[in-house]
Amino acid sequence: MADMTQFDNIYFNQSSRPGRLRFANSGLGWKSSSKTVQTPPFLLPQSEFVSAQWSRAAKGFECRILSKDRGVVQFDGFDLDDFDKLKNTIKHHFDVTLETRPHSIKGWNWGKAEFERSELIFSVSDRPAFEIPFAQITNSNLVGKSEVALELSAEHELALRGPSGVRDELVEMRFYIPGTVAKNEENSDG
Amino acid sequence: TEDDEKPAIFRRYEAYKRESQFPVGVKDLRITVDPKSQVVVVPICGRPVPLHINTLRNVSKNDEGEYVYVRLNLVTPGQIIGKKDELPYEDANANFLHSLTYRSHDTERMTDIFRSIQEMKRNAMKKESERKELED
Repeated sequence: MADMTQFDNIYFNQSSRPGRLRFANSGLGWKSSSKTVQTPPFLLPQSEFVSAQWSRAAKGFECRILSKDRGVVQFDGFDLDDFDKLKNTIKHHFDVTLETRPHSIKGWNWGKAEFERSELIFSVSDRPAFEIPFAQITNSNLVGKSEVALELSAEHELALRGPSGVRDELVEMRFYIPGTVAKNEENSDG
Repeated sequence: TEDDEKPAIFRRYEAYKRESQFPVGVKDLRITVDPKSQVVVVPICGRPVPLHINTLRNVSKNDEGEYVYVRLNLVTPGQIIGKKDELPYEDANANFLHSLTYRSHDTERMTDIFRSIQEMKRNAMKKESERKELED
């Protein structure tokens, strides 16, 4: 038998239907379980793996893979008990350590917005509260001196996303970044 | 008087302590109202994100063609809210999430969400003013 590990009922980048996720030495592959919707499988070669993170998400627990050139890849729907198996699998096939990454659930809307390799991370009390992959930002605007507006869209074509109305779709978000201009002026004075 | 010179204070609050406290509905990536914990849970890029009712300034709803839009406006510095002796946030120099706009085809459900958020905010403000009256 080929050296391969499989997880079932896994959602890929907020797909509306689950699929099958397989790991092998060559990389990973995800394929929708739906018989009515035919989409080509998603493949990520081993060379793309930079790091892997484990967090609580929507369907269950999530494995996020930060890739070299393909941005952030999200797999949601793992059970808490899957952690050891997934950690061993990723270590075994890709020599990458699955890191646990707890999120802030304080419910605050102030913190720190930072641009990382392929996503914007908003942190509350030094813990990430949410991430916005750059691939999902379709437009950004400065509104006045201290506000940034982001327009967002889901990454998927309709086939994978499922019919509209299935979820509430986030289309715009605004950040208030106070004091940036004034502080710079103060600095230049001093 | 001395009272006027007191620095504004932030009354600490937290939405959840443990992830197991999330309401069941969050798995569908929909806005979920949790009156018991005074929290609105919003989906952001696949993650359920709790927002405590104290961070919410107001909510609006717009019908545009086949879609209904619900916008959550959150508290940021520079807005005049209530008494000056209390700060609704811990750090005025932080970055703030200011607003979130969601859209859906499901008018009925979005109207429900809109109403329940409004009601939760109204109740929170009522409790808050009752508390302040007792303090005064």
